[in-house]
Amino acid sequence: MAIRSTRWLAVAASLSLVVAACAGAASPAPQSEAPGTSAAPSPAPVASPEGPPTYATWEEVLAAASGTTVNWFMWGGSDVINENVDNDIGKPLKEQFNVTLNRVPINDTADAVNQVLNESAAGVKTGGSIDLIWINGENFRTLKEANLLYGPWAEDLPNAIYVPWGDGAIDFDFGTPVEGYESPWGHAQFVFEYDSAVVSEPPTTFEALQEWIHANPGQFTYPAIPDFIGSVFVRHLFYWAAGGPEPFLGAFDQAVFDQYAPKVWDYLNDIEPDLWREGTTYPQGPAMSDLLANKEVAFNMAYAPGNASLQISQGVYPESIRTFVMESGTLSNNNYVAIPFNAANPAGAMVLANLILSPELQLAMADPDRWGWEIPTDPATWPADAQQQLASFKRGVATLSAEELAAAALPEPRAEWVTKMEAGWIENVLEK
Amino acid sequence: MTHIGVVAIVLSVGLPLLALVIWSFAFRWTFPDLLPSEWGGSAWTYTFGPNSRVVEGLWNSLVIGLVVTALAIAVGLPAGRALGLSDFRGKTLVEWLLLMPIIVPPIVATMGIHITFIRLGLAGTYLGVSLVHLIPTIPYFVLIMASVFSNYGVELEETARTLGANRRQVFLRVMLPAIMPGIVVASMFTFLISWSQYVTTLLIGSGRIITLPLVLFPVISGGNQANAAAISLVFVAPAIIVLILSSRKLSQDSAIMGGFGRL
Repeated sequence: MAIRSTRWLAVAASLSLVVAACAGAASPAPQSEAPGTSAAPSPAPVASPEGPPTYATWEEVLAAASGTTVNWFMWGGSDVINENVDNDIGKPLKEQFNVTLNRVPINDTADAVNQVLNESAAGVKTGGSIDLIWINGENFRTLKEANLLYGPWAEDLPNAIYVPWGDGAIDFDFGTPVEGYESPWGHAQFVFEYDSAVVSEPPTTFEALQEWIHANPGQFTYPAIPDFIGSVFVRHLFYWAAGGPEPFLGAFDQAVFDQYAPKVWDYLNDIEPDLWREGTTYPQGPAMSDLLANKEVAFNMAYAPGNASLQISQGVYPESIRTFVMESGTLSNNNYVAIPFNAANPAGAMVLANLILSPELQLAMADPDRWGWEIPTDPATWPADAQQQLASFKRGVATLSAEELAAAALPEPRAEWVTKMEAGWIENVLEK
Repeated sequence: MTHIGVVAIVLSVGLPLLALVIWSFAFRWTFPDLLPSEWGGSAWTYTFGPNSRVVEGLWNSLVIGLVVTALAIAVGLPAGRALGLSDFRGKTLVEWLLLMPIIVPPIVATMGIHITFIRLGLAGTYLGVSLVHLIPTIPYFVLIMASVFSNYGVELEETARTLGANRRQVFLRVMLPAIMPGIVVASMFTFLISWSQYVTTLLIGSGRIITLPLVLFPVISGGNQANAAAISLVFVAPAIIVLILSSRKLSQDSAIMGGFGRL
């Protein structure tokens, strides 16, 4: 009998694991996604957060942060960014503020959002595992609307004086009011990348692009939605169809959508037969770099004006790659850092968020030989020597000038438009 | 015939690895060049440098994989024996339930478990991550052991008992030698499944436990092929070592392994 009951115990133990595994079937699961960008599903309503630590002065924040560790969840796909974050942010954070950086590399920001949603569902109101998230757009909206963010704090940082708060481009993140619940870190703008060895004169209007595609079948494509870059390309076409971004900056309006959408779908269906592989398939976002590098296609797109220069210096792209933007302008946004409502170490997170706004670090980020990023702070507010240093930087070989980019910048649409445009593409282009 | 088979296996395993090795030393390698036009070791410097967290991930993956394998043996061996040797009411139901974690996507299961583990204080701990790795591994372990035990002659144990062997001797000298190849195969599966877990580790580990897949997957999505190749080679190395070691162990033919063929 003893043997028999042990057997049953073992079977029961295995089964309990199985049952536990299936118990979570009702929980939200993330959709498939582009790296670091897709949105987590909207959460069920949750109880409002309670009892996060608050600080009256910046000195109190510094004192509370000293000796702590900050768990920063961020997309970890770029070795350059990983090294820069560890060296240029992690080291001064430790040396100047005695704060240790634990950079947690994730594949998708939605993973971090799900972590916060789950902790909230489990009633973890303090001591959460995430102190800071690299975030924007849909993911920010999800957490803010669920009341799962710590704050407001961003406009109270000492270095917030360098941030152009009050400018709509900073105050709204894909149409969601920021209201001090996240602090800017980087600026991004959408550019087309092309191989100047193949394309002598890049098409800078969508009409010219359409002609070029028909004249050069198989040489152009764009990543399939839900890829982030593919989604931006479709948004860009909506701006073209409507003659500008204005109709999409307010709340979603089906009539407005129906007015412009057919022109976009017609355009995309018209070019489809002359796309890469006759448009029978669309590549994944990261694969586009390989397609361009291997001259299978002549164009790629990036939401980072310095990406092409960086890829050339990394040996991924050939030397002949250059970038351009459409004459009618190009999409731009800022990315931010936000603190979850239950962060174990909001003080350390704020010290980090403050550090990355400092002119020293923004200079490092703007340096094409180090980060090669666009920056969200206003250099006019910096000390004179920092401004001079910025002016002395040479742009990357394939990067457009700051003036050209600034002049072309268009705001992103409100987040709910993005969802509708993506769904519309799948229905009207992919499945046609 | 055997020679052709060996060559086919070596080619099919070796050629993709060779491509990875070349990629890991490539600086610029574009179509239609047969070999990289520029070479460099920066991918390996990054891989074993402090910023990639590969070494830390390697150790964590190793420790967790071994703990998971030990736990799987402790739970799966008795369960496999019960399912392989005994008939009881509801056996099909039990087998079907055991398969559930393979059928249900692990992300769905883990989301639910995550909430429970946070409440129990298991999130962000090595034990928590090891326990959650049991979910996708136990079904394989138990099913392999059940099939091994269904070919196992329990009469041998009875014979040994009538010849005066005590229970411990029967276990160590009759059962264990007979099922050892099965345990090796099942442990190998378990270790490798644990080794490749991403979503479960990310959620339950809460960013505090960094394993190799957590480091590797974002790099693959990042588009730097050389780095991805170098870290991938670190990632597949244990699998190849395990394969070589276990195939040597299993090459001594064993009747009980009839269902698996020779490795």
